[in-house]
Order: sequence, then C-alpha cells, then structure tokens
Amino acid sequence: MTDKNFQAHEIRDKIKIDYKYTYGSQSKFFIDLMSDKKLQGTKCKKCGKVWMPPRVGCSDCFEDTEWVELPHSGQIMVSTIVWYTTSDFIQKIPYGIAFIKLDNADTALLQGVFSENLVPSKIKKGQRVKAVFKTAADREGKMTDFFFVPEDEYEAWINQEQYEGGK
Amino acid sequence: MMAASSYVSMVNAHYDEFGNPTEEQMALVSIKNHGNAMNNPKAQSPMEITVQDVLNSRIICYPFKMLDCCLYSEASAALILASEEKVKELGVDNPIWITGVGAANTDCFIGNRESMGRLYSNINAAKVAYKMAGLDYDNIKNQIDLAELHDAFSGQEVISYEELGFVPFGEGGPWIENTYEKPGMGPWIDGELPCCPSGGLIGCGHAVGATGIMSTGEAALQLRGDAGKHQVEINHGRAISHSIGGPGAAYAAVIVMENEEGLSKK
Ligand SMILES: [Zn+2]
Repeated sequence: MTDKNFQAHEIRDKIKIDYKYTYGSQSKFFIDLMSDKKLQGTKCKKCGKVWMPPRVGCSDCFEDTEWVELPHSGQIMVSTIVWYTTSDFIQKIPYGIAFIKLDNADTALLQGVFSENLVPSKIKKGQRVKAVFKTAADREGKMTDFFFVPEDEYEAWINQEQYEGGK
Repeated sequence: MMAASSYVSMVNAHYDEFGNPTEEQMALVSIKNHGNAMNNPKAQSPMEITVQDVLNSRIICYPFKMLDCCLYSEASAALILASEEKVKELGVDNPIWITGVGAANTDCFIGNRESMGRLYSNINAAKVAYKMAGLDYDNIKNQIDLAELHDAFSGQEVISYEELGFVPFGEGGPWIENTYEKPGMGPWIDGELPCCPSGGLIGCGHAVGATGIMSTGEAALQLRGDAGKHQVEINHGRAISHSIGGPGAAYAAVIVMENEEGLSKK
C-alpha cells in the first residue's frame, strides 16, 4: 500500500452458521446416556479389553468390539483442579477434572469431578467417585450430561433438583 | 481439555509415582528459564523472579501456576538445511551437522496409558537419535554440552530430564533442587548440562509450530559460538534439541547436532 492516507472502512456484521455433526459409530454411547443414563463401554471380542471411552475397534489388536454396560462407580487415576479454562466452562471454575477408571473398565475416562470440598487432598488418585446426571429434560446426549462426585457426597448431589442418580 | 490440564495430568501422575516434582522444584525451572531469557534479546518473557513469585502467581490448574506455563505466542523461526555435498561445494564455514534424529508416538489419549506419569515417546525418540549419532543413552549427560528442551510447562521439563536420560527415573525434581546456586552442577546455565539456555518456551514464548525450529536453531547457535550473552561453554561440540506435540503430548522428536570439533572427537 503506497497511499499513506489510505483508510480501510470497516462494517461490523455477523455470520450465523447452523450445522450438525454425528458421533458416528460411537453414537450409542451418547443415545443411551441421554435416554437411559447408561454408561456404555466396549469390549474387544478377541482380547477382552474393556474400553471406556468406548472404541469400535480395539486399539491393541485391531479386532471388533461389542457394547458392554459399565457401573457408575470408579476411581480417580489422576486429576487436577482447574482455575482457568475455555469460555464454555469459565462460569464453572473452579472444578476438578480427572481420568477415571470405572469398575470393570481397563482404560480411564476423562470427566469433570464436582465437590463440596474441592481440595487436592480430596480430588486425588484413588478417590472413589460416582456418576451424577442432569435431569432428563436437560440431557442432550453430550459429555456434559453427567459428571462425577466423591462417593460420600453422592446422596447430597442427587437430592438437588437439577440432578439425579443413575439406575 | 486445555494444554495445561493435559500436561498437568502427566506431571501429577509422575508426582503420585515418584513424589516429585514438587511445586518448589517446578518453580526452580521457571526461575531458570525466565532468568536465562534475560540474556536472550529475542525472548518474550525475560524475568528475574523468586520461588515465592512463582508460588504466588495466579493458579491455572493445580499445581501449575501462571509462571509455570509458557506464553502462547506468535513468531517465526528458520533453519537452512543442506546436504553434505552442498555444504562442501559452498564452502560453508563452521556448519552444524545433524548426526541423529529420532521421533516416536505414544497413545494420544492419556486415559489409555498404563503409566500416566511416563512419556514413552520421549525415551524412544531419544534412544533412536542417540544411537544414530553413536552416543550412549546411559551416559548422555557427559556427551553433550547443552539441551534445548520442550518446556511448555515447568513440571514437564523435569519429566524430560528423566526420559532423555540425564538422570534416573524419579530423580528429575531433586536434580534441579539440589543443584540450585551450585555452579557446575545441574541443568542451570553454568551447570553440568545447561537445559534451555535460550530461556526455552517458558522464557522465549511458545510459537506453536515454529518452536521446534527455534529450539534446534538455538542449539546450532550455541555450537557455532554465536549465542551471544547466553552462550554456554562448548566442550564436546554436541547438543540436542527436543520437541513435543499432538494430543496428550503424544509425539516427540529429538535431534542431535554436532560441530566439526564434535565430529572429530568420536
Ligand atoms: Zn483387543
């Protein structure tokens, strides 16, 4: 640009895009979560490894897997407490996140951990946790439909109006 | 999941297994790299700070504080690569030779890893690179002059000390702590193996994509004696650069570089 007096004229406008995407062959996990509060993992037909989050093919032996319903309880493998995050979750800080191994699963699921007592000595490796769900009206078939709480706080959480326990 | 919470999972798992790095040990990495950046005119975050400054900085995700984290930045870096024949044809003075390259992957999803406090891609990449260069993984600390590491987060640099073979597993945190203010020891700028003399990602800023080139270029500057105020002593004529990427920090690359003197010593 050689013209020193050049000035760009800017208009503030908006682009709105409606779009859809699918969860592909993992759709069953999200449908069963939304409709029945089920946590569906997959089990390798060859080696028997139980994957959670579910994988349609076993990452170890590349064989097909089959769906297997998992319990709602498990334990924290590793965790942190988040104080800074993306705009979607910034209203909720601070909160815990953890890799959680559900009982009977061989791999760990990444999910939020909420607690009345959000301290590193409580949100830590080995802590037993249990899944709490949003009510049916609020569930959308997304990972944010549920979260985990320390087992000893479970009753207090599911007694809140906006949440419920699993079956 | 943010980069910080992804790296912090590995660091917390490492702590659960080995009892380190502690928050104070991580703060020392921050002090070192921000401090090294004071002597690098191209660095974005030069700072003279104390352990207390790091511990008091804003919490990002436990136990990372703001000063444990690099700044996400925008910048560029460049290397000029040429074949051995071309270097000779052009009569390049003091070329730096790439004598070892290693790259490896591990499970992208941290939840699939048997041992979450380990980054197997790092040790695998390092072993391949060292072997190609004719170096010994178990004695690497005594065979190189410096390492430019991928210190996106302070605690992760500590894990790199172990995976890249500088100290035994579980001794990364104590290595930086026990050598603080002890000239000739540890990963400090005047230490036995200076790590991130440029300031690394914590001191320079992390221009994602350009960072690996920056680290490699910094190691080359050091080996040519062109690093200016952050020049370290070059005795072996050999350095490494290390970079990490991908979801769950699954991918790693290690490069061994040597100047003419380094080559002649083998
Ligand atoms: Zn299998």
